[in-house]
Amino acid sequence: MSEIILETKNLTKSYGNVKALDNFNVKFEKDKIYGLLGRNGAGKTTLLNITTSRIFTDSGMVTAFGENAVENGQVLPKICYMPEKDMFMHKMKVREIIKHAGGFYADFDMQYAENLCEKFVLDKNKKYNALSRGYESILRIVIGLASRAPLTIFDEPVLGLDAAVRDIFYTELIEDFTNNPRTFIISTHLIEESADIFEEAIIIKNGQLIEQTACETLKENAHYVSGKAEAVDAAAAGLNVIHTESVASVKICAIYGKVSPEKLRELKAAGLDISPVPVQKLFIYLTEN
Amino acid sequence: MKLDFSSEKSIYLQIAENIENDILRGAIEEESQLPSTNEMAVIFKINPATAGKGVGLLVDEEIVYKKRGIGMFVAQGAKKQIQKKRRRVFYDNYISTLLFEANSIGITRDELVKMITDGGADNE
Repeated sequence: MSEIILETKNLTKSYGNVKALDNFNVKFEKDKIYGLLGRNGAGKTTLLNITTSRIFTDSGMVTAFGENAVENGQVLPKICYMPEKDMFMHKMKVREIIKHAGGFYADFDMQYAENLCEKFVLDKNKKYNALSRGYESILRIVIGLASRAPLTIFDEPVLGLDAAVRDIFYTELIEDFTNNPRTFIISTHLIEESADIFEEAIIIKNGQLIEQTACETLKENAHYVSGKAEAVDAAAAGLNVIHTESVASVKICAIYGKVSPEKLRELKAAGLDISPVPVQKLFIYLTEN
Repeated sequence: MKLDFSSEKSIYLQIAENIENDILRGAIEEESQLPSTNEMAVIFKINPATAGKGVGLLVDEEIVYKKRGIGMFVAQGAKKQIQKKRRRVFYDNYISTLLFEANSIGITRDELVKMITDGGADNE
């Protein structure tokens, strides 16, 4: 395994009776792009807030760059966390916000920030409170990318952005990642369009880690099996069925887990239809209660 | 070269196949250089590790090789190598499905042979 950049051990955090994180254990490696996926309220933002010392855990440990991460002055300049919500001074101009943000990160690249402002057509003279929702996101993207922080975290980076701008973001992210490798953790609800950017997906459900796997493994291990109900039931016996639907006498099952090519051929030969499960649907099935 | 993100087939497999197709069709010559995996990642908007995995498959099969410090190159004899490989899976990938479908819709073996011999000129 390559160098571990960020690790949590038995992280538990409750808000009143609700366990936002439940004995959470996760490891993030150097120079990889991770997708952090989970339903609303699953615990993603709590996890990110704890790992960046914005809130404190009830129990458990967070280690970053080999050291205890909590309020650690050595470690914080290496982590850039761009949260979903408001974090900037409303009356400040974009130009000033960027300059100010730059001071927090050891590797901040001002020239790159300028280039990104041009690419995204972000008006540096505008005050933050005059920015549209989309441009608020763009400002976060500019700072996050230009930080060049060895651990860069985006929580919902593309909120309010149109498809064309999202495209620019993904392209820029990959391009900068290939030229200046670092660890990215991206929490997003737009699974279908970002799944191929991630090397690994981390899925959180009810404060627990339910899956950490390469994105292509997720896809390879999920199949729809459909056909006559009896045939589907027979085929699905012993397999991990994560979803079922029936229309008249036709049944569709989603199965999750490694299935050999021979087994798939066998199922097709039995007259069943095998098709891929879109990753967004897979996510929905895996996170269902 | 195009990728189908909704396909059953993993992206890295598609990349390997696309490169093979280009080699078969002469679009990429033997001993010519492939785009780097980083370039592929940016063009297709995929993670570079995925592009790397696809190219890695071709390296394992000696269709492509690495010139240290320069990049990935198509090996001598790559075209023949790919043809040989594809022959082995031709039955499973094409014939098997063809026979299954022909059977489902009642096309006889003789009709099938005629279709193939006529090359699709007369397929009423």
